[in-house]
Amino acid sequence: MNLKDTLGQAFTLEAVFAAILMLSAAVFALQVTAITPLTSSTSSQQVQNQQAALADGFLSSQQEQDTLKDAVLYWNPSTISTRKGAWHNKSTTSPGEGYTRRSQFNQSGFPFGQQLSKTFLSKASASNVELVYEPQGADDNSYYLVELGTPSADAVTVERTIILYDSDRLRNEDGTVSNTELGSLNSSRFYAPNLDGPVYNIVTVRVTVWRI
Amino acid sequence: MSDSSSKRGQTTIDFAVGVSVFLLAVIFIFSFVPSLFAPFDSDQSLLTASDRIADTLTQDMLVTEQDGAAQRYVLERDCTTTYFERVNGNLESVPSQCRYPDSVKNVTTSVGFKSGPVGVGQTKDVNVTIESYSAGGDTTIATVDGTRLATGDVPPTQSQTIIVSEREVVIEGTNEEFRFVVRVW
Repeated sequence: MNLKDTLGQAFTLEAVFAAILMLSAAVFALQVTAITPLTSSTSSQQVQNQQAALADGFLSSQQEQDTLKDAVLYWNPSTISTRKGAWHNKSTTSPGEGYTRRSQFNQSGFPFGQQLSKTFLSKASASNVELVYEPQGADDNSYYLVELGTPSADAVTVERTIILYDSDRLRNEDGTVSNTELGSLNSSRFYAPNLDGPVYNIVTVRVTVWRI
Repeated sequence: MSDSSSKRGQTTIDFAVGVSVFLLAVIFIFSFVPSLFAPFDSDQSLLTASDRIADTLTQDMLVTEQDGAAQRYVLERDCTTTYFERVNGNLESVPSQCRYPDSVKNVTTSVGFKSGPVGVGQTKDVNVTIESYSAGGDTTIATVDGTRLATGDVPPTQSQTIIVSEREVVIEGTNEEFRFVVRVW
């Protein structure tokens, strides 16, 4: 019996190929690791559902406390003919339509902004608030109230509609009702135009929330 | 004879290389096979349970009604405080406008709300609190009309997976927003 003929493994190269084969089988097996839709992770569907529910609850609560209308009317009409005006506490020279910093809308005269800051910004979420109205002619149909950036891919949007009447008054910087009626404003001094009739315009408040 | 060692096709170095490659492969497999079972370790129904409990309480059971329709996320003041009182063992009378199911209304002994109104069963631990915001955004358990709005089992303090569902609610009449937190583990 020649010992060489009974060797099951003639070359070391066979061992290397066998090991590679085993490793490939292991890697293939790992590709089938099951991640179900209910597995907890930071990007699961439940996070989006929760953000949507929080935004929905936020808007319902604001509407119940009548602060949603206060927020939409928290406007400082401009005295210069070339500008529309701006939100209170936002200088006309700063860029963009809406508030861009937390310190601008986290003011005591603006409970909508204060609650937005507590509900979302304190909990590692960011939000945009856009006001969509009925335009006249070729104008834009939306104006930002809060613009903190571009939403991520998993952002959710919830909206509520309010009706503004000609008899509604603007709000001052400290939150009190001012004497300026919407109907008496020059239509180019407010972000939304004046439609015919006793209704000034119909504004939809659109809140977009995403995690950061 | 010493000839046999010179006739072997495998030198010592060949053997070392082969065995080390083999051992590497075996160790690799033994360390990664347990991760195949990782998704099945945790109880996947906790996520659904916590979501459903939060939705049921904030959109249906404790809410006010307007023209017969439930107002989502607007909690009725007396119904909310009575609910927490009753679940914690203090059997107050149920106001007529409450939307509780009969399992909460018609009981005369203190009811564990897990099996009845929330329908979770005894295998899960549930904790429900309503927290109020401070100026900086931190939340603490709220007290409305003398009732501390917290009930359920005590959450564990050691490391354990707790699934949390949060909702934003307003309790009508208080003019204040609260955070409704449900913890299930």
